[in-house]
Amino acid sequence: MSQVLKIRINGMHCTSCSINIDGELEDAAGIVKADTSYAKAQTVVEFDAEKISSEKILEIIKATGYEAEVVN
Amino acid sequence: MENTSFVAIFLTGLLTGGLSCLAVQGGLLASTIAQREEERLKDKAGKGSPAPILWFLLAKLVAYTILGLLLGWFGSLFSLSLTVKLVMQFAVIVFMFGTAMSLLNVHPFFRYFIIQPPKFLTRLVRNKSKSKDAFAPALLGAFTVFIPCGITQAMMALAIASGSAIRGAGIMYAFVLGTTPVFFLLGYFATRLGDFWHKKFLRVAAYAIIVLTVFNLNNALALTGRPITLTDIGKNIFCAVAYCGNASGQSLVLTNEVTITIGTYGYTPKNIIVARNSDVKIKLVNNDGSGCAQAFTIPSLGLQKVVPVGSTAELSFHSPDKQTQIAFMCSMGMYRGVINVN
Repeated sequence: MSQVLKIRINGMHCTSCSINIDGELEDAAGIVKADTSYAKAQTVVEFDAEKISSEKILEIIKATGYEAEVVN
Repeated sequence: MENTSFVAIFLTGLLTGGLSCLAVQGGLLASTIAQREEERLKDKAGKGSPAPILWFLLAKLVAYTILGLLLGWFGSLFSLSLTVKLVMQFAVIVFMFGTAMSLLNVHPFFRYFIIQPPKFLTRLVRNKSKSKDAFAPALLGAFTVFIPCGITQAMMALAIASGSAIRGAGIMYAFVLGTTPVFFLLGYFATRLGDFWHKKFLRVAAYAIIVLTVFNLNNALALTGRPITLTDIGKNIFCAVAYCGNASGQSLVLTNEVTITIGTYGYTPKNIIVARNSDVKIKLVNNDGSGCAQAFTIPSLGLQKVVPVGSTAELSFHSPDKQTQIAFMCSMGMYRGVINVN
């Protein structure tokens, strides 16, 4: 079943970073959609909880070079 | 726009744009090269070549020049009325200032000044970067036009403010040309810039935008027709402590029929004296004044006359019944002069 996770991201310095994060997330199996906003410094990820965990999602963002923590 | 400004924009691109825009565009370039490299290894087709990078950069340069042309043309639609032009100039200044503040990370609020491209466009560009098509690098280069970075957006705003398709194209061409060497080198050596350097160059980019913003602000202040430009204020402070006299060195003669010649460096004479409460006739002779100098403007009287190179025109008005100074300038406020009403 698809779930939605809101994640606060620190360390983005331009919209390019949000494009990179979206790309990395959407390449991962189990993520339906990622919508990162540079202005709000957060990303909203829609994912299939049976295929990927929220911890794994945070790991992907951190591996791209940003700090991430779950908001909700 | 003067040549020096194009040089300044080129240097901004060379010193900061390439590095600060590389975060996403460089990544895309690297991934298409990687895709092609994979094909090459499969085909055992010999040595790799810089051709894909060159195609990427050439297509990017062409796409941004066309974008500059369109933005400049869009800006020219607003130059019909002085007031609208002035409002637009100040809007561009606020936008550029906000961009610089965002790059400097002054306050989260300024992040809203950076326009984020719509999702479908970023997805389209990203998908193209995974393509193994031979034309992929060139297409990708052209597509980067949809994902401009912060400093590129500031240059796009500048292109709109230039109010001319040709100058807009020139601004974008100079900037993207400036970013090219860094893109080529880092693309060729497939190096990724460390976060430390990236942040450092973003700061330099922010300061470059601030310098361009101050330059534009000065021109916009001139367009208001009041003696409140930064140059005027500086001159007033200097003249308060030291004697300035007639700085232009021209002898000022009271006349109500004056000829002003338009040249490469603006208007001659820059200072004229006319009698109060009288009809003044100005003959404008354009020898070789191209660009904005062709549009002779007196903002406070709402007068503008476009005098193409090699032609003459006349302008008349009734001077006010009091001692005052009336500023005249080109349509962008870059070349200036004063009519002294005695």
